[in-house]
Amino acid sequence: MTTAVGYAVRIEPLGVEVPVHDDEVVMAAAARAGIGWPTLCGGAGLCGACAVDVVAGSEQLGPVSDLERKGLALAGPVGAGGVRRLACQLTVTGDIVVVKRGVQPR
Amino acid sequence: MSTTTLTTAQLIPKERYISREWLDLEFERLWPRVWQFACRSEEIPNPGDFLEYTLGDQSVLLVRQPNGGVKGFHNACPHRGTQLASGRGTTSQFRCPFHGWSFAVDGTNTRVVDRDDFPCELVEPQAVCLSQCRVDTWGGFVWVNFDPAAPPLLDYLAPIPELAAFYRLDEMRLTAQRTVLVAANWKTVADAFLETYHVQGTHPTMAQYYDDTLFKVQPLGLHGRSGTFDLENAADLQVGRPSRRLGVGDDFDPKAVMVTMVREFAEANLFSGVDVDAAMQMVAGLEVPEGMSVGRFFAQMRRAMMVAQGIDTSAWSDDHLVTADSFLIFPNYFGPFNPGNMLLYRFRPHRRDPDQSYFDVCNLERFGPEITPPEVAYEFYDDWRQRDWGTLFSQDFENLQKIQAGMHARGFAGLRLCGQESLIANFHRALEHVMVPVEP
Repeated sequence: MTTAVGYAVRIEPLGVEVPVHDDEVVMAAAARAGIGWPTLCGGAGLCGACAVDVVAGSEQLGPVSDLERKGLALAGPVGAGGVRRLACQLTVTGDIVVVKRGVQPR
Repeated sequence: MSTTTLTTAQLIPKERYISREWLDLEFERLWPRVWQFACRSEEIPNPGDFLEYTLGDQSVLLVRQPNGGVKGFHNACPHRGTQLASGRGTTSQFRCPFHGWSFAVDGTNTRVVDRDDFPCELVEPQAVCLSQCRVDTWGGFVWVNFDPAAPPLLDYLAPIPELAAFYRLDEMRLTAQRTVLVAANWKTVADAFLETYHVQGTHPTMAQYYDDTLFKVQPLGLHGRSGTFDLENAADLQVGRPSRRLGVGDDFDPKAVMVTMVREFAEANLFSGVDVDAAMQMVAGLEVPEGMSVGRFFAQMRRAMMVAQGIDTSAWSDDHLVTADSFLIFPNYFGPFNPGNMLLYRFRPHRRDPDQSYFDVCNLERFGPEITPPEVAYEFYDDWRQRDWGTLFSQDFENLQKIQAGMHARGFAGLRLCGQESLIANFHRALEHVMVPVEP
């Protein structure tokens, strides 16, 4: 059984930090904190619209599944640099900082 | 004209897409009655130039006449029916390969071998000429019709010629015609272009640079139209900004939006014939100026490219240069029109199989007065995977076979359409209207 340790994901340029549990994906953690995330597929890993650039803590990311690899192909060009991942598939093993435009408090 | 929603609570019968009986009914009642786009005028520029147009089991030869007009001949020797020509070419006469009967390019018979051996009433001059069908042109497109009682072409197309006059389509030049044998009914393929409801499901990347929620549809009698129509500042509001479905407001990276947009447009030849690498190189070093929308920046870039070719763009606003006005011409043509270029999709039925059809993608482009248009690229693919169609087309192609196969399921009742899909509903009403039984 997983322990709910809790890491911090900082979302730029919005400038907010949300707690994320073990095995919880970043987009779900943000939703729990009342933050809306761009998506068309509702977090199924299919549309690429939720993609983030991980600019700090990139060594503390969960693995990339085949599903996420396909979704990343639709994510568009890299903007902020760093490691591009899908927020709806991304789990973490430590604190990270991501850049994502269009993330908005609900 | 107002935009109307014409969807009803009725299912569209799936048999129209999958049954051989319906396919045969279309050959009997639909195709002989409608105007069919056969070729572009510039494909047969000189006297004696000819081109074969086929649909189902019908083949027509379009032939440029010495007086500049175009005639259409049923492709059959009046002797025993042998086809006289195929493909494209230039000739001074048509000679039947079977017994050597010959015909001038205007269709008159110039030779019946051993004429005296026929009963004279069977070889009267009129009886041994090539049989003609009706031909007319609009916007540089050459059309044929097999029905002597059909309305004139311009009446049939109304009000599209008036709405599209602005694009001066006759000045465009065909640059490519790519035909794909698709594992789906011709209407299944057409439907994929008649609504933008599928953008969010099928083309998620498009939602990054196109606000699909602003699309409107407008039935025009038998025909239809989709686009933003008279939306003022569409260049700022629709193109070059994410779909409202994403809920990002104005918080997006304009450069990323522009790069994705230009790449996908270039892949699909949506806004020019410029190849993908050239297009990407063009935008790589550009930054969207502060305070300007991506759409307007793109429009100005596009205008500058047209002006550099010597094209007068004064009639067209930025909105016109970035948005596409898409017309459905009943029954089987659809295309996004733009002042710089246009695509025309033609959906032709397979002769026997309702689960297959021919999808013709015609690229047309406007060239400056000093530019010689390239040779037309004619290509045929019996599997769409044989060519790289780019992101958008590939996503549509992936779906077509699944849609067609799924409609056969015993548990699938019929098509249920929403307001955004009302051009499909309108199409079916038009189909029912035209396919009334043949009078005995």
